[in-house]
Parts: sequence; C-alpha cells; structure tokens
Amino acid sequence: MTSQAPRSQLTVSIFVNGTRRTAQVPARRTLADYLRDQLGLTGTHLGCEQGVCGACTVLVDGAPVLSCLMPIGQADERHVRTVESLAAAGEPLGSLQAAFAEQDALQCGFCTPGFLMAASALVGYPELSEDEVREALSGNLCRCTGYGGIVTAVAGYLRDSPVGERSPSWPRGPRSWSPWETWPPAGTGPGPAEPPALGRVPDRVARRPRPGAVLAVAAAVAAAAIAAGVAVAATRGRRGRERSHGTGHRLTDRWHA
Amino acid sequence: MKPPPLRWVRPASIAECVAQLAELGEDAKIIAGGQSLMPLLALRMAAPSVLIDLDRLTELDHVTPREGHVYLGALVRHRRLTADPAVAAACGLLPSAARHIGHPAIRNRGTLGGSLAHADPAAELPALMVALRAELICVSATAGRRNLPASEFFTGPYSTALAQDELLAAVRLPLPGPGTRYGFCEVSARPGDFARAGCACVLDLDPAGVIQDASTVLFAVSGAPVDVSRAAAGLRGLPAAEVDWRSVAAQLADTAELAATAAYTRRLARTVLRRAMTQAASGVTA
Repeated sequence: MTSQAPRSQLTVSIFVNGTRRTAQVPARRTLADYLRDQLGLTGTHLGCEQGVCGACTVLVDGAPVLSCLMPIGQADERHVRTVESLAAAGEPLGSLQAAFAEQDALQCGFCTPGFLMAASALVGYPELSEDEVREALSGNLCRCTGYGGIVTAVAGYLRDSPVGERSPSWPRGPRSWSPWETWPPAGTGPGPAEPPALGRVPDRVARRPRPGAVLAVAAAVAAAAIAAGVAVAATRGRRGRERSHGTGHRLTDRWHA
Repeated sequence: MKPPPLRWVRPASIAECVAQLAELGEDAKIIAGGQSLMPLLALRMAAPSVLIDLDRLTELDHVTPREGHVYLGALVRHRRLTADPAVAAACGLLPSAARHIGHPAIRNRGTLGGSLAHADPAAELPALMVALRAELICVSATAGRRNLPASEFFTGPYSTALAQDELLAAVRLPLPGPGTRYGFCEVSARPGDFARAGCACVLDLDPAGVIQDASTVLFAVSGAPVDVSRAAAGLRGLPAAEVDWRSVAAQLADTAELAATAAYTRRLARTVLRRAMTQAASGVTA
C-alpha cells in the first residue's frame, strides 16, 4: 500500500536551537541551506557542499552531523543546534568560543563554527586526551591555523568544563573507549527530548569578553569563504576523488598549499 | 553545488518501500544516511527524480542473533557498528573495521545498507561481508525475498547485483565459533580518508591452533573486493603459530587479480595482508 505520494515541497517542523520552526521547504534543500537561507542562521558555513570539509557541522539530536549532507526531510522533528546557540548576538562569547580566542585557534574563522559544534559534542568529557580530541575533530578541515591551537583550546576547555555538563549524546557506556564510540546514544532518534544547554563557564568569559573577536570573524568571513572555496577546489583538483582532511595526524605542509 | 530538483517520499514500512520502488522504477533512488548519495547529488553525478527515504524506517535498524547467525538491518549506522556491544558480541571484526569509515559525523549518519549498495571500491564493509561469508537479503515487490552471497553481490566499482526494484533489507552473518579469529588492516593517507589498500581476514582454528579455513579479502586495490581465500586454501592444516605470514602475504598479493594496478598498490596489498593475517593468527581481537 502506498499511502503517500512523492512531494516536491515538504512541510517540516524542526527544533532549531530550542525553538520549533515550521516551514514549507523544497524537498531538494539541505539542512544547511535551510538554516542559512530560510532562517538566516549564516553561522553554519558551507565550504565544499559534499561532506569533506566539516564547516557545516551542526548537532542533530546532540550528535555532530554534516548539515550539507542532510536533506531537509530527514531533519523533520529533530533537534538542531547551530553555532548561534553558543552565544546570543551581542552577548559575550560562550566559553568554548572564548577558549578558541585565547588559544588563537582561528585565523580567518571560516572553519570555526564547524569545529565549535564538533567540539560541543564532547562537552562533559574532561578526561579526553589530545589524541582523542584530534580524532573527534578529524572530519573538520582548517586551511590556515594548522590544528595545534584548536586542539589545545578544545582539550583545555573540556578539562575545565564541569562534569555535570556532560553532553547527552555521549553517555559513557561500560565498554566505550571514547565518547564518539558509545551505544546507545541518548537523545538520538526522533522525539522532543531537548538536549540541555551547552556548557558555559561564565568566569572566564566575564574576565575576558571578546566581542571584537566576533566582529573580526564576521568581517573575515566573506573573503574567507572565497579563499576556502578555492583551496578546497584546488585540493580536489590535485587529489582527484580522494578526500583531504585532517586535524594534524601526519599532516604535511603540502596540505596547507 | 546543490542537489537537483526532486521529489521526496518516506515509506512507513518495508512493504511500502518496495511497492514504491516497483511503481517509480528507474526514477527513484533510495536514501538512508545520505553520506554517499548526497555528495553525488551535489556533484550532479546522480539525478533521481524521487528519493525514497529510509531514515525513520526503524524496522530496518536491528541487530538480531538467531540460529547460529546474526541479522543486521540495513539501517544500522556505522556508529552502532563501532559501539553496540551486541554487534561486537556477534562479530568482533565489525567494530574494529567500522572505526575506519570516514569521521565521527559521517559515522553518525551513514548506514550499513547504504555502504553496501553504494559499493565504493575503497569501502570497508563490502570486503567485510565477503570475508565473513555474509548473505545479503534483498527484497522486492514482485520477486519477494532472495538471499545473495556477498561474493556474488559486488560486481564492480559502484556496481552490485541489486535489481532496480530491490531493497537491500539486511545482511546475515554466521556467528563466530570458538576458533574464529579476526584480523583487519587498512592503509590510508590520513585517518578517516579513503583506504589505499585494506584487508579483512577471518581464520578458523581448531583447538590445537591448526588452520581450518582462511577467508581473506582485499579492498581498495581493485574495482570490487578481491577474495584471495582460494589461494589461501593451502594454509589449511598448518598450525597458525608456525606460518611465515610475510611470505604468505607476498604470495597472495602476487596471485591476487591486481595485474592492472600499480606496483605500489601491490606492495600495500602485501603489507595489509601480512598485518591482518598476523593479527588474526595471534588471536588478538582485532
């Protein structure tokens, strides 16, 4: 029995940063384009649009997902968290963002939202080693800082984050060896279980409010978008169908070209 | 680029899904996790007019041991393969190999059935299915259900024996015996990158450690998984602890049908064969 006919327009209802948003959307649209074009949440960046660069990483039901590879129909009734959830406009940076600023973990800032969201899924695991952090962030490409500052910022932030803030997507199972290798992940699957707020450590932010960093990032984004697009295109041209990637595992200089 | 204009349907059951496949014909393409199909759409290398979405079809997301076998539903995601204790109990090879698939964000979405139906030559899971002597359970509205041995399913790069109107619903793996040992090795430029060469090895040893069977499959060295088990049959009857795996690997790499591939690939094949087979023989859980 075929109860439904295929549709070119879908009505979707998605919890975006805690608010239910209902919209008519063309079926071809990706979650990334919906967030950017229909909701104006342009903090989610599009680099390669084919699942290679990680710039579009968001949390879906608490787990990192590439929003450029998620057709909008699959996001229906799910909880999506974007980088905008880390700090409201005009407010001080969230503590994870502040850690990036302190460690100079960004230059152009284009890849930063993807790194921030991938790292957000690790909140509550202060015991993660730098190697584990590298593996957790291995799907995100940075083309200008290298990865040292990013890994230091995330590992340091996780060490300082209160254990009570443990992200619901990564329950520590009895035999799990790292938070992205656990089962079952609470909070996955459809349903309205709202993940708790991501960790904030107000002390550090209060001492060092860095609204200037937000402006600098915003100003750099337009140019960076072009630069990153060119870099990715050039890389793919040289490397054919292989995916380039990395957070520094055996990363050589030619990957920074 | 963006995916081309298309229509979307979300069947509520396997029966509804295969009915839609039969009705829509070649215009339709099944999407599960989307980690292979969505890039193809964005690159305009595929342009189906309808996507049939399995994302919520929970009846395909199961791990079911039954009568000496384990059934894994097509919608089991890579992350579950790496992490679910039920998967590890049913097949110790799956968690260690699935860890090599892409990155965490990709493993959160990508599915077993999607990877098998996509049949990327560099993918881990097709080779695992061949090495584990899996049967792939295909369902269609007209022909009902048929079980295909994995060795007959993968016909070439991105090509399978799956018919146009068929859904790959599940795989059936034999449960390991007390003497089953696994080995897995993959070489890639960086972790999470596509494999340049890889090998999955399943040794069956008797209680004295004598090899009864040595199922060994290479991947990423040719258009489809390369099963060298026939050439490895000479290992039967030998004590695993006394085998010179380096020379076995060299011989197997030379007999494998890799003639068209570069010398470097052949060297890699030798390396991954040696490592995977040594790992299996040493009894360390892969």
